[in-house]
Amino acid sequence: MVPISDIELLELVKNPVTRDQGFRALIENYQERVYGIIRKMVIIHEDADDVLQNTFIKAFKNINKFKGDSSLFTWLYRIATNESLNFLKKKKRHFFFPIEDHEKAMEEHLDHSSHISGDEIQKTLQRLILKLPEKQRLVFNLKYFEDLSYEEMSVITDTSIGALKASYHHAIKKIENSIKLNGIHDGQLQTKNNEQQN
Amino acid sequence: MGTYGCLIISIMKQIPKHNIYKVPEGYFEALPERILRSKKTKARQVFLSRMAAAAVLVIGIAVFIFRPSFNEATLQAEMDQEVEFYINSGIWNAEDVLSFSENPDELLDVIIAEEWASYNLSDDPIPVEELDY
Repeated sequence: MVPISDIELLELVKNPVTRDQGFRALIENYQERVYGIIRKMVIIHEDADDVLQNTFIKAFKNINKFKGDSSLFTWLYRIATNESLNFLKKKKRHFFFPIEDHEKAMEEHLDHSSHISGDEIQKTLQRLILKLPEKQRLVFNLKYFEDLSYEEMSVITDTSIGALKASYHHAIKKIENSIKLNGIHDGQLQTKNNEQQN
Repeated sequence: MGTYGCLIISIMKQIPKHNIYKVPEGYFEALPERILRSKKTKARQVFLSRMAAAAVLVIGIAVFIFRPSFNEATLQAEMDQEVEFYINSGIWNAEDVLSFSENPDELLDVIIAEEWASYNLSDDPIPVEELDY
């Protein structure tokens, strides 16, 4: 599959004859990156699958409203992050199950799912990130894992750059404190990495 | 950021940023088709729900327009027929019918008045010859 440009993609979507072809190309171009950010938020693959489908269906429905002020990718990220946060909010509002149940389910998924790879240190980091409030977690993921600029993050989250910087700083502080409490230190990490290399 | 801030950066630098979240085999290959199929299903559901809403609206308007066919006179006539049937078939007796009334005494007065109307109840003295049986 040869990735096509956003302009070509939008041309395909605008034409009723090639609309489905355009939608297919849109999914193929962006599915892995969009899935990545959703999965880091909702953790469980099945949930990420639901949120990802809703994200693309919402994108198809509103594609005519896309003005091209930002990149298509930023626009899709914005829908995906909104959908992820709404999904988690709905889980919290669930009448019969307390909030902790879903948080526990996400933690257990990190520990036991066959759809999780990586060493213990990586999983520990993910567990610590999971302890952050959702919006802070989103900011941390966008900055740390996706390497996005604060300007891009500002468009995606509709938040000021100053607030994003403060949020990222708080997230780092909290992870730092958790590392302190968990007793993970530089040497331990080095040993783990050496063990893996051997 | 203090010493520990430097430490965390040093620790996190050593954690490879590669994605630890995996997907089932063939997931991304099958996804576009699944999403396009689900989009069509949702579009059909929206179409059907709009059709249903339109049908409800049309039925509502029709009921409103043809409402006179359910007028009070027809309903009363049907009820009268039913009551008559119950009385004639002996299911209800006179006491039952009276007990259904909100004011049975008033009803009795009306019935008595109607029945006695055929009798001469004037206060004038009855002629003697009429008393002669």
